Amino acid sequence: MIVYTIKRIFVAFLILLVVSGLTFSLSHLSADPALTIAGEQASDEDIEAVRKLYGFDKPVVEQYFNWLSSALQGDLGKSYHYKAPVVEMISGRIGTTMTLGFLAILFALVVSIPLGTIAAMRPNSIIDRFALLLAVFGQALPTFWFALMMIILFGVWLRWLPISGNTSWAHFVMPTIALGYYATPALMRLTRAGMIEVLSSDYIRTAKAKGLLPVSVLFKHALRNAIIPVVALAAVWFGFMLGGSIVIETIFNLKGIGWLSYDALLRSDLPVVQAIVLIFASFYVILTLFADLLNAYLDPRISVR
Amino acid sequence: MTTIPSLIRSQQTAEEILEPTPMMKLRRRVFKNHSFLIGALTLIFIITIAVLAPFIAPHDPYDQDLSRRLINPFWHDKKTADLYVFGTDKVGRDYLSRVIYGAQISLLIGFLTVLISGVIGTALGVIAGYFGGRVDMVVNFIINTRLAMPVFLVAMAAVVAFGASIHVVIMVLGLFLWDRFAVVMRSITMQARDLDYVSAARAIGCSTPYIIIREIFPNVLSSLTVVATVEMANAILLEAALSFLGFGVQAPTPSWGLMLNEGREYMFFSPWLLALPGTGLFLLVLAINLFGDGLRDVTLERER
Repeated sequence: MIVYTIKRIFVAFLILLVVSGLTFSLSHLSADPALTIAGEQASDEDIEAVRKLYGFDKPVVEQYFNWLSSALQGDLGKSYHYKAPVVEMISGRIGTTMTLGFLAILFALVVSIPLGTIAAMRPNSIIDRFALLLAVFGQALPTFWFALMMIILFGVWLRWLPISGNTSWAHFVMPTIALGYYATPALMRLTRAGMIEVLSSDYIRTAKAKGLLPVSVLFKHALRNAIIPVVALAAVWFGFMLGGSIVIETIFNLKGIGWLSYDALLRSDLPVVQAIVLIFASFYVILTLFADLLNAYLDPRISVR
Repeated sequence: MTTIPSLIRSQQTAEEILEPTPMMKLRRRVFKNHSFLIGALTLIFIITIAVLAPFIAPHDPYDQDLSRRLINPFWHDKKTADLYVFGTDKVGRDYLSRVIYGAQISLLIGFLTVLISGVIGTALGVIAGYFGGRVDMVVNFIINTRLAMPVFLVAMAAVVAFGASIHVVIMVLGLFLWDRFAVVMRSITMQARDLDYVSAARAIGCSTPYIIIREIFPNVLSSLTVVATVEMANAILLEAALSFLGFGVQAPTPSWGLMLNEGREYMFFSPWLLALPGTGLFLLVLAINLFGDGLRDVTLERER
């Protein structure tokens, strides 16, 4: 288990290194960043001065290692547009995105676990079919379109909820649903499959034979075992949701890091984009690491492989 | 005189005669599987509309005329219903024609993306699964690295780097959405590698490329199609989202995502500008998913 953990952590670092390298080279393939910083009306000398100042005249590999060494020291560079340190810009906004991501995954779990459980208790019943239908429809619904339709219905026609900003809890209701529903089909299917498998196992039959209350069998014996892979998958989905927050934050004008990355891309503000890619990738890597270790802990055979 | 053993034998042959052929079994499963049928029919319907768009569309989807901008659709305004069934957009283009042509764009992007990503992912997965060991380790690392990259953000960055156009969107999505192909192909190839007839092919001295293409590949074909439907739906949704944010297909192309972007500023007074292309997107993705789910059920039963 320890060897497995160390191995997985090493691989996680290697992955982040490659991802950061790829993003760096991608952003340096784009149009001359010196031109972006100096502005459209800048003279050739100005552009040259900017190029020297930011080190764009050096080879890309050297620039990458300079960026990497300062990134490891917690300095992700300065925004070209706002001239502020990227770390400050992100730390001021990451709270909003985390809140949104957390609420969204919570919403997804609250919907999918009960639905999946009920569906598993009566396979092929009306509730099961309804849950399946909901999953099929949910998977086909484009997130951003769903968000827009909610704005029209709840924000404009019914006037129940605010449609933009992040000043109160009510501002988070629609973004949470829009971001969270997309994870429900996968989580519900996994809950359902896990519960069906667990419910047909010997120890559940024993528990029932012992005369335990059905409620206690369901919650203490069955759900507790079926839910762990669901939690592991939810962790991975949380990582995906941070990526999905770009569209949702832009639509609802929630100024988290998803919105920041959209804004930065519009202005070709590369240091900000690179930093956010690195943060999203780190989150994904850490969460999958957590999911893998959780699964390996539960099923020791995994770590031997 | 008939003996008892011969009676049993004749009964067996009678059962064998009544036994449906594999083709009949498959046909029966296809017609029993409602999601497959609904998905396939809707998909055929949308593809037909897309292919025949030049003949079906009542107007040119690019033809602008500011004098007839933002005409209401038929359920608001009975007068204009004959000319512009779904109304017109902010520069007076016929919305029905644009919605019809939008199917072309989405399908084109879906097909081409899956073509590129399918080739990359299948190659990686089959190689990893067939050779195993270090090759597998390296491919696994590549897959994990790809999964760690936030697709949407990196795709946006790539569009900024290479310029926004339909070609760039297809290339970027094609280079990104191969992970599921690789994962699935890898595990199926691993199972197929140890099958008797593959060992037999190896024993009689067939070359590795021959074994992979002729013996293993036919085995993975049905799973490949199922993964392709999932990724196609994914690519269509991603393109729509990219175009919606302005990092995808550019005006005046009638992409459903871009139409949602253009309609957004009129969402309060003309919500149908958003409802129509979104419904198209939803139906297309739904049809692809139903088709894929059904296909999986139909083919998996055969393998059982």
